Amino acid sequence: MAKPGVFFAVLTGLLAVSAVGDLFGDDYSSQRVAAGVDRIIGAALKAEKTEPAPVISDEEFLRRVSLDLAGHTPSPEDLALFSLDPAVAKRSAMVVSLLSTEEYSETWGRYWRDVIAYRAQDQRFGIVREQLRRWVRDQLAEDRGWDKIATDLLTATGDINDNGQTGLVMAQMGEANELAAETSRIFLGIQLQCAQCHDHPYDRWKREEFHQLAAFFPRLRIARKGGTEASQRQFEIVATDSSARNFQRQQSGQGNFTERYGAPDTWIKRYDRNSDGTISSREVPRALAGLFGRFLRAGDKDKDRHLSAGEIKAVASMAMSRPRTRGTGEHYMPDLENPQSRGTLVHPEFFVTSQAPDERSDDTDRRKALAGFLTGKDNPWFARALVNRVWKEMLGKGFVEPVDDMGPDRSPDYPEALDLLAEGCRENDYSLKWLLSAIALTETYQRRIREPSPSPEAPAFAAATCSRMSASKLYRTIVRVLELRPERFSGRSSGSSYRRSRNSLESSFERIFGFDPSTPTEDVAGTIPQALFLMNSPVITSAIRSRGDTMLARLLGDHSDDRIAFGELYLRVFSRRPSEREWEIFGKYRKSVASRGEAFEDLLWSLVNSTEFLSER
Amino acid sequence: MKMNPIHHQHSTADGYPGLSRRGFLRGVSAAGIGSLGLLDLVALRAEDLQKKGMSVIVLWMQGGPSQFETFDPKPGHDNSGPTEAIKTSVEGIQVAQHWPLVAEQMKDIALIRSMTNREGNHQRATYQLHTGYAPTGSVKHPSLGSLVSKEIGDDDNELPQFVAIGSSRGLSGISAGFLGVGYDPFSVSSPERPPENTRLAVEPGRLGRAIGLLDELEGEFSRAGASDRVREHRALYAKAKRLATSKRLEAFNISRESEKTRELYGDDSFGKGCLLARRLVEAGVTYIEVRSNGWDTHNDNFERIKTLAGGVDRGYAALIADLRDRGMLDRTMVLWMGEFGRTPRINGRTGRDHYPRVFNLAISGGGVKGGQVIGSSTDDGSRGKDRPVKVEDLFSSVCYALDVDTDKEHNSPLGRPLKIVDGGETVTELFS
Repeated sequence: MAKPGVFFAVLTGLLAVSAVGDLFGDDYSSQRVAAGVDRIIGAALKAEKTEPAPVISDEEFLRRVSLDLAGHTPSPEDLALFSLDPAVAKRSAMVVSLLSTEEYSETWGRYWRDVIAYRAQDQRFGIVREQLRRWVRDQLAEDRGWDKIATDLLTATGDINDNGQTGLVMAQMGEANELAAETSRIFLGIQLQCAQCHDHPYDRWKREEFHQLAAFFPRLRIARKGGTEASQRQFEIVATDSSARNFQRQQSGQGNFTERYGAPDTWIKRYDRNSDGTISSREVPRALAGLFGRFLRAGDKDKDRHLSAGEIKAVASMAMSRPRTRGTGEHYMPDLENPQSRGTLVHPEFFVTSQAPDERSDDTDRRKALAGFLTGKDNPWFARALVNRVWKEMLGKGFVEPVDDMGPDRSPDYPEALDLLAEGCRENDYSLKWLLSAIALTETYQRRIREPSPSPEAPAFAAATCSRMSASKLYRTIVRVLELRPERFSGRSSGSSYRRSRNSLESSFERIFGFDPSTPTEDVAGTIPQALFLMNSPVITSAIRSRGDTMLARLLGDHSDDRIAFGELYLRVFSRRPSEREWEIFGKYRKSVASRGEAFEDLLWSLVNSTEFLSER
Repeated sequence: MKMNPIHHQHSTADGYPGLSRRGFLRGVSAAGIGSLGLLDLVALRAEDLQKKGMSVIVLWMQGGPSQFETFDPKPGHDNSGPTEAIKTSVEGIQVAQHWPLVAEQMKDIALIRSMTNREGNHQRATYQLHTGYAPTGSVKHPSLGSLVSKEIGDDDNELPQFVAIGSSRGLSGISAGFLGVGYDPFSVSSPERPPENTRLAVEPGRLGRAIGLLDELEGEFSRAGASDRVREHRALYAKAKRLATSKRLEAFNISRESEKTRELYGDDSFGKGCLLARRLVEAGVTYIEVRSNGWDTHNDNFERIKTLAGGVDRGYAALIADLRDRGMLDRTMVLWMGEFGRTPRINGRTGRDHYPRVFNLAISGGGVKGGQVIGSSTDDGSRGKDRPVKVEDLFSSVCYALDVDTDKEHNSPLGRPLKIVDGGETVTELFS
C-alpha cells in the first residue's frame, strides 16, 4: 500500500526544520549542539589518527532512525520516498517528523518502563506495569521535561490502579533502601546500593550517604487498599504521617495505649476473668479484640487459642517495643556491630549537593524536597545520566558503560561532548525530543558499522555499534514486515487491560526477547529460546507461508519474476536492496528447489532468522 | 588439583574402572545396545575420565530466606517470634516447624549455619552468590553454573548443560558473562511444559537446507562489520537445531514419570521443577537451578513463610529421597540457598529485613556427609559464633566436590585473568 501520508509528513517536517533552531532556543538548538558534539569527537579522533567510518546512506539512515525513534523498520514505500526526496535537509526533517508520531511515545514509553521494570523486586509490580507504560507514554507525547517526569515518579501517592506514576515506588514495594538505590541508579547514573552495607569499595560514597538518601523515603508505605484481602490487586501508596504532629503522636502511641488498656504484661491480671492463667478472645474488651486477634495469630505458641502471660509478653514486646523502621517516622542506619539495636537515626540529606529538607517535614514534603534537589541545576548528575542513557540507546554505547554506573571516579569518553549535551538538556527544560533530535542530527550517530578494533584503547564512536533490537521493536517490526494480525495469537481478547496485556503476542515477545535496557550492548546475547521461536513457532511459520492470507503469498502473486520478488522481499525485511552476490546465492537455491513457493518460504525464513534482521545497525 | 576420593569410589561400573553407570548408559544409548565393541568401551572410558558425570542442583530461594524460619531456628528467644523448632531424623539437629519432610531427610543434609557476607542488596548479593565475585561494573563474571558446565559439561550432549527452571525475576544478571553465550543458562519458565517451540515446523532436511541458505546470506552482513555477531548467531542456531532434533528432549517431559513419583514431588511448580531437575540430571545435564520466589519477607514474615516453605519442603525432600533411592545422590550435589538471610530483629510489620552477616544454607550429595551442622550463630542469631563460611569458601567446596580446579584462570575481556574462585578454602568438614 502506498503511503502518501509519509510524504506529507516529510514535507511538513521540512517546513518545520527551519524552525528547529528557534523552537529550542538559539545557543542550544539541537543542530548547534549536534555540530558541537561532532566537533569535539571529530577533533579527538583526528588527534588519535583514527579515520571515522563513512556516513550512512539514506536507506540505512531511515532504518536506523525509524527504529530508534519510532520502534520499527521503515516500509518499502517509506524507503522509496525518502531516497527520492531531493531536499538537502531531509534527514533532520525526518527526525522532526518521526518525533511527532504516536509511535515515538509508544517506543520510548516502553523503554523507560523497562528501565524500571527489570529491577522490580516483587511480582506485584506486574499490576502497575501496564499503567506505568501508558503514563510515561503520555508524558512523552506531551514532551514533558524529564525533571517533571522524575518528580512525579518520586512523589507519587494513591491508588496504583489509576496511576502509572506509582510504578517506580511499587517496583521496590515502597522499601526505603531499595528506593534510594534505584533513585540513584536511574536518575543519577550512580550505583550507591553497595554503600547500604559497607563503604563503597571503589567510589567515594559512604554508608551514611546512602542512608541519608534512604531517609527521604521512610514515611511512605504500600498498603492494601481498604485494608482488606478482598482483592489481590488493590494497592495504594500511603504517606503514613501526613504531618509532623501526627508523627509526634505516633511516637507516643505506646504511652496512650498503655494508659487505656494497661501494659500488656498486666493483661492477665486485668482480663483473666475465669482465672485459668490465660486469656481468650472472649475475655478481652471489645476495643481490644482486633489487636488480641493479631497477638493470637503471632504468639499463640501452644495453639490453644489462649494467651498465657509469657506468650503475651513475648508477642507484645515483638510488636510494640521494637522500633518501626519503615512505614513510620525515621530512617535508621543499622549498626553493623550491634544488629539488635535500633541503629543510628539518619536525617535525609542529598549526598551530591548536601541539601537537606526541614527535619519536621512530612512524607510528601520530603519526597518533593528530594525531587527538587535531584533535578536542581546545581546537580550535574541528573542531566548527565539522562544524556548517557539516551545516547547509548541511540548509538549502542554510552559515554560511560554501564549507563547506570557513571561515577564519580570514572572518566567518560569525550566528557566535553557529554557535558555539552547535558547543558543543552538543561537549557531546553529537559525535553527528551530535543535530546533525541540533537543526537540523531550528529554525524557521529550517522556513521556506518565496521569491524570493531581489537584494541580496547581504540577511541569510541569512530563507527556505529551494532546492537540487538529490543523485544518491543522486534515485535512491532515483525508485525509490520510479515503483516501479522497480533490479535490472532493473543491468549485472551477480553477481560481487564492487565490480563489483556499479559496474554498478548507482544508480551510473548517481551518474555522471550526482553532484556534489561541498562545492560551494555556487548552483554546482550541471543538465547536458544529466541532462536527456537523464530525457527519453529506457529506465529512465525504460519506467517511465512507462500499460500493463503499472507504477505508472501501476496508478494509472489504481484511479482511473477523471481528476481523482482527477491528484491521486494529484501527491501521489506532488510530495508535495503540485495547485492548481486546475494541474488546469485538465492538464484542457485531457487533452482535446487522444485517449488517456487517453498524456495521463497525458505528465503523469508532465512531473512527473519538472520543476524542482520535482529540488529540495529 | 585436589582429588576427591568420592570419584574413585563411584567411578566404577560393571567392572570397568573409570566408567560410571551414567556414562556407560549414555554410551549405550548413543551407540545402540549390542554394538559396543572393546574400542568403544575404551573410548567411553576416556571420555568419562574427562567428564566426571557429576551434576549440581541448586534450589534457589530468591529474596533471601530467613534462617530463623528455615534451618537455624531459635525457639524461645525473642528474635524467634512465634516460630517453633521440630526434631529431624538426626539426633540433636532441629529445624523450623515448616520443614517436616526435609527434617526426615536430615541424615543426607549438611547445614551450614555460619554463612557470612557483606552484600545486603538483592541484585548485588544474587550476583555474588551466583558468581563468587562481588559485582564490579567493569567485568561481567560468569556464574558458577556456566563455569561448571564449561569445565565438566558433556559437549556431546544436545541438551543445554546449564538449565534454570522457574521465574527469572531478579535473576536477569545471571549469565555466562565473559565466557560467552554458549554457556548461558537455558531458561525453562514452567516445568510443566517442554521447552517452547521445540517441535520442528518443517522436516529436518528442509530445516538444514534453510539454515544453509541463512549461513550463506549472512555473509554480506558479516563482511559489513558484524562478523562476531554472525558467528555467535550461527553457533546459537546450531545449538537450537541440535536441541530441537534431540531425542533427549523427552527429559523435559515430566508426565513420563509414574503417578507415584509425581505425587512424591507434589503438585506445585517448585516440586515439579525438582522432578524435572532429576530427569535432566539423568539425561546428562550438568547444572540445574530450580527457583522459588517471594522470600523477601519484609512484612508478614511468619504467615508468608508458611506458604513459601509449604511449597519447597515437599519438592526438596522428595528430590533428596529420590536421588538417594536411585543411587544418584553421590554424583549429584544439591544446594538449598538464597542471596542472604534476614534480620534477627522483627520489624514493625512483623517482617524481617535483609541480613547478610549470618545466614544459613543446606548441602547434600556429591560426597557431602549429611546429618551434620557446620558452624553456628549466637543465641540471638545476630552473628556467627564459630566457623565462619564465606561465599568463596562455599564455591571452593562445590568445586572440590566436582573436581574442578578453582585456580584455573579465564581471561576476562579486560585482559585480566580471573580464577574460577578467588581465594576461599574448601569446607573440609563437609566431606569428612
